[in-house]
Amino acid sequence: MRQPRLSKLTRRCFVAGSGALATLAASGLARGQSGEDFRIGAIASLTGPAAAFSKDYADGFNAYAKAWNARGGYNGRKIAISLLDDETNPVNAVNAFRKLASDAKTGAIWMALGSQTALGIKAIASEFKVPIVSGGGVDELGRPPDAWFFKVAPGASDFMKGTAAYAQKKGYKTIATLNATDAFGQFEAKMMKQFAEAAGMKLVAAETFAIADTNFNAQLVKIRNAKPDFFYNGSTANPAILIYKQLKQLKLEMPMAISLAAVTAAFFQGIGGREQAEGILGLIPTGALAADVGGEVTRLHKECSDALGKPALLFHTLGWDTALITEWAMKGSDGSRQGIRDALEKAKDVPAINGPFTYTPTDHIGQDIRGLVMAEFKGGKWVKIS
Amino acid sequence: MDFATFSQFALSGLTTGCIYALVALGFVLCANVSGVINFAQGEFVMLGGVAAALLLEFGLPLVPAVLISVVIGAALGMGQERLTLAPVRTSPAFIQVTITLGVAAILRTGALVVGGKDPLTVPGFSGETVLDVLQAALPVQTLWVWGSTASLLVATFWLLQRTDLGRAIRACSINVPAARLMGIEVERLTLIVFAMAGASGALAGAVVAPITQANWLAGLEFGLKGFIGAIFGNFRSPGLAVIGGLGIGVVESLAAGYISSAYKDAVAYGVLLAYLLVRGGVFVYGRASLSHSSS
Repeated sequence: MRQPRLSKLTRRCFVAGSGALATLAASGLARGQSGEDFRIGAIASLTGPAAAFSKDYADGFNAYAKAWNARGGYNGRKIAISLLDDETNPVNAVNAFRKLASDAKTGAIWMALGSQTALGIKAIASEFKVPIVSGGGVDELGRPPDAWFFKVAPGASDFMKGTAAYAQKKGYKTIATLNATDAFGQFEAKMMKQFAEAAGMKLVAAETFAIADTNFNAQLVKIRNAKPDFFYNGSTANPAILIYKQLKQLKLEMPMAISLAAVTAAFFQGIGGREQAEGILGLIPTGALAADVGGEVTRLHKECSDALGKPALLFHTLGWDTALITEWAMKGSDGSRQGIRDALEKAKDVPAINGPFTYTPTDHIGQDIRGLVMAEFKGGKWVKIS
Repeated sequence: MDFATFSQFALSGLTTGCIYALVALGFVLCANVSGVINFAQGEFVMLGGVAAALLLEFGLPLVPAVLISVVIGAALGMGQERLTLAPVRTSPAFIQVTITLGVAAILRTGALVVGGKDPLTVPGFSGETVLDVLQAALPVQTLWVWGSTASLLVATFWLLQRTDLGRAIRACSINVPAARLMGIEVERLTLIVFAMAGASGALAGAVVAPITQANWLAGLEFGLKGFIGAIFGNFRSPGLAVIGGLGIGVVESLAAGYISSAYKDAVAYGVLLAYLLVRGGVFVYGRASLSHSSS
């Protein structure tokens, strides 16, 4: 018995339908199937010592993704975060990165890791060709740039530039610094010297200390004897406490700016209470003082807080900014890894909580001195002064 | 050079030197009876501070907190000797020394786990007043450090010179087999000395913590500089070890003040190197000693 032949109409429908399906499949390879979640990989230290800041970052990621999805997601596709915990272990972080980056469905990766770990991943970023938007303080994360690696938050040099700019604005002519002998401390010292001299100020004392030191009398006496108009204290952790106590004992009374990383609960306890910190100056990211800054910063900070369900702290806002710039780039791209990367590199003055984003082919730091404000510790909290 | 600046450098260095001196003394005492250089000595100082801080946080008054810290130091010293060194008493020296390095690492990690990574605060025993001592501004706690160091040193030297226990320790430092033949229980003596070293280290740590904060990494620096002091005493002479420890504290502070803060450790270790070369006779015999030793 012969099989019935397909009618011409049915054949045409079949061919047209197959073609449509093939087209959809092809575009799916680049952009994901319409309706399928857009996957973003994320790595954070949810446990271990770095959890103190990294967990807030990750909460910022999740809060943004939730708000983003509430607005319809990316072209109707839900944003799905695959969050991995590196347990504050750099080896785990690299393994997590490889896992996420190797998955073709991962459209971008967010990272909330310490600078050294992030640098390790930057070194292999181009192997996988997935756009990475990462936290971390050191300038090396964004300059020189890796094509696929984009940093969030002002760089370490921006903090020094901002501090020098403040001192210049106040009319100070001489400056003294005290920094650790480690790589970060010496980088800060070098940058401060460069920016201070460019601002017409003279560096009258540049003292150093080792992290394990407990006696800073020699350095502080030399700074006192040099009589600077302004003093930048780049210490953190235990040295920050001891230096502060010893400079009070030695009656160093010139205006002093301190590294933000130094001002922790342990610092306040060590110096005898928050009231002992009155008058300390510090260059603070706008994300930490967003309510005082006004404009877009305050508006975006409120959005972040509303999405979190509580007032957003600094690292929440950095996580939020990470997601914000990613959404901005995705809107201007075809949604492919290459497209997102190319769009990120075109970002110019994109408003964010910690300062506007600008990336260029030679600079992937992203945020800059515009994301910093000078604040004074007054009444038990930081108050913006400039 | 004005006197006030010199005084500030020297007296603040002397305060740090007191801790180095006590660590050096602990090194020498342990080495005299056991022949072992105990690299955990610096960690006893660290643990004294951490234990005192934690006990104060739990609500204990100052005196009991410090006394309990001293007891903890003594117990850890005894534990180290009995559990890790006694079983390997006849092993080569490098094995015993390596074991002390391992104990030091364990004590540091233990302090990190129990105390956390943040520095811990011990309030000044007499408040936070700043005194003018010979034109130097020093916290009043400095007097506690000087006073307790002097008291410990006097007590140790009295023990070594005026008591049977001290004579037994000195006998061991001269010749252990001979001391054993004279009826000295070397094993029991070693346990007592390690307890003393642990206790004195812990007391030093508790007393200096109001000035330096207590944290799990503090023992490394104290241990290294105390080791230098012990080398000055050739691991035999408690007196020279103490002078060495005090001297290193002052020298590094003066170096930081008058040369550069970046070079203070280089100067301290440079002084050690120079001492070792001089003691080794390089400047007396010169090249002759090298060619002689190779033939």
